Amino acid sequence: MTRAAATSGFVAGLVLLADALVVWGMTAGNYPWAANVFPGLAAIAITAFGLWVIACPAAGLEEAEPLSLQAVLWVAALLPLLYLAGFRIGLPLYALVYALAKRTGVLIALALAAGVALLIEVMFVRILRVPLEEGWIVERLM
Amino acid sequence: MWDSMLSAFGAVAQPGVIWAVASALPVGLLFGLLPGLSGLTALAVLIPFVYGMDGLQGLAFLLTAHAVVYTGGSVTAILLGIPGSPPNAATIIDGVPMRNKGLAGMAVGAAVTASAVGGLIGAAVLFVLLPVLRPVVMAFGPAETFVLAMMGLTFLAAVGTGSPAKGLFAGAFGIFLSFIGYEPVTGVPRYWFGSEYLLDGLRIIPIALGIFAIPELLALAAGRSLARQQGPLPGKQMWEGARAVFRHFGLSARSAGIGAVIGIIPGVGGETAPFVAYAAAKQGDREPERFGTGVVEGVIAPESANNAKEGGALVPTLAFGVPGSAGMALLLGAFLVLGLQPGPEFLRLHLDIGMALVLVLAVANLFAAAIMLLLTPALARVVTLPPALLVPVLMALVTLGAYSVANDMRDVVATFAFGALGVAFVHFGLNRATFLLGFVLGPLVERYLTISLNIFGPSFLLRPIVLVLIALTVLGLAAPRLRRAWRRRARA
Repeated sequence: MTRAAATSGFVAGLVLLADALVVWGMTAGNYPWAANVFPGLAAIAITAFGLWVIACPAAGLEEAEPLSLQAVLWVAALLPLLYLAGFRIGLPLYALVYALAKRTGVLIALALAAGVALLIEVMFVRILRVPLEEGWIVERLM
Repeated sequence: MWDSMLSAFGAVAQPGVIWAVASALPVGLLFGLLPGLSGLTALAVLIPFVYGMDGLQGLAFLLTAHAVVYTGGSVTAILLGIPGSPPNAATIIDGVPMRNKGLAGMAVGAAVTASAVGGLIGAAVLFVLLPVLRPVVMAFGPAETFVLAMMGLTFLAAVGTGSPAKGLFAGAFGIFLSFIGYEPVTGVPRYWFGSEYLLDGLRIIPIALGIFAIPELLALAAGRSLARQQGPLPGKQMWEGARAVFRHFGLSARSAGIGAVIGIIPGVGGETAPFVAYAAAKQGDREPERFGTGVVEGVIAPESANNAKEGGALVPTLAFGVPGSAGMALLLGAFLVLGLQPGPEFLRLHLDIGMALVLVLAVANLFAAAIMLLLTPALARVVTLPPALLVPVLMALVTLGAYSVANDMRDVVATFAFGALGVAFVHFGLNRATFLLGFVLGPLVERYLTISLNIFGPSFLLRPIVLVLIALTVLGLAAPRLRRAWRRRARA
């Protein structure tokens, strides 16, 4: 599938999503009239502009770098890691593993992880007093 | 009046106030540099420190930290493609293409200098309006605020680069998502599907971080470096950027004026001002199609407006005790902590403190720019760091920034979800800035139109300021076409 065709598909999906939500709000959601007016107007605009985009999907398409599955997995992996190990362990661990995986020297990777840990401890725990998520593993152990 | 001004100069020159400004400056800049930490967070963190300070000292401390956040945020927006705070998102539109051309130093120099110029103009607006601001603020009711928000919406196509259809589509989708949660007037919850998180509506910081930062991080993780260095070193470029602000001083002053006016009106929201200034700059340019490809004017306009709006936002806070923004609401709390009661009586009894705050705002903006200009050569080198070191640090800042908005892991999940949307937007050429502008303006239009109709009926459209604003909107939309027609006729 070409990028222009994929653009049309993506836009059509968003148009259908918005229209479906508005219809749901008017029917099954049972929202009062006043609560449906603005979402309805927005959905009309989405549909109109969406059709305009679908008519010329290639307009404004610049050369894009291809998505790397490996990069997507590296970025997405942080979310489950945070749920499991929390911020204080998860983020320095992520920094260490990421740097090592990208063939950075061990000492630099360790310094990076220590720097991230220090940033969390000083800025977010001590100064901002943010009650950071401990993570599933730490909560089970405590 | 002049007595108050002289007294204000004396008060600001006190060592305690100078110390307060000097200590708050790096804090505000640091909060700006770190993605997700806004001026609001800076104020929330610093308020406990003002206990025990005298009135002006405490206010100078807080106002300085709050006012310079956007100066720091512009640097992150340009160098990393991640808005330091949501209002810096407009700077990304031209700041990142400039960085990609190897002009990071110039973009940062222009942004920081424009921030200072904007901050000074905002302070000047506050100074001029302080004695006469009651009728000015009273003139803006819900009807005028609605028309201003609509004016912002008409700029959606102008903010977008590339295809206008895609800009408008992204903006409309942003508006639609802003309707999730409680309806502002009747309080009916919409599209929340039993999720307590959606009941309060989506939060802007996870959205801004997701749609701008995650695509950038993915590109970095794929091995792309942030900049291809070309031309002179960042330090030399920086001065070119600073000079560009004075070369385009008219643009800077106009954008700052837009920022100050939007700041004055309670409820319009600080995120709107830089986008409106950007759109006005683009529409007013002879070659608007250059915008979005990395032109310095596209950095100057939003950054001038960003800092100017803080001076404007102080106007209703001081005059009526009505905060012009969420940050000003916290500042209002600090006034009370320090034993001062803003409102009409405040200006009668403490005009000298009001004037002193104007001076603090001006001084803070100047010093913030000086500090950032000194740091720019070092900061601009961040873009040359290997992605293996940048990715984990930025991922940490983005997730922590999103989480600390409300100490809620679901905000981190939302950041990743909007990250996926951002990646799709980039891939399909849809404009992320118009999406964010739509998201900010949607609830304003809904709230103020409903209130205006309830109070005035449809005749609210005939109010004098409303008519002027409608005329300005039409003129703004028609100006590029009129100019082109004019030029064609002149050539013929």
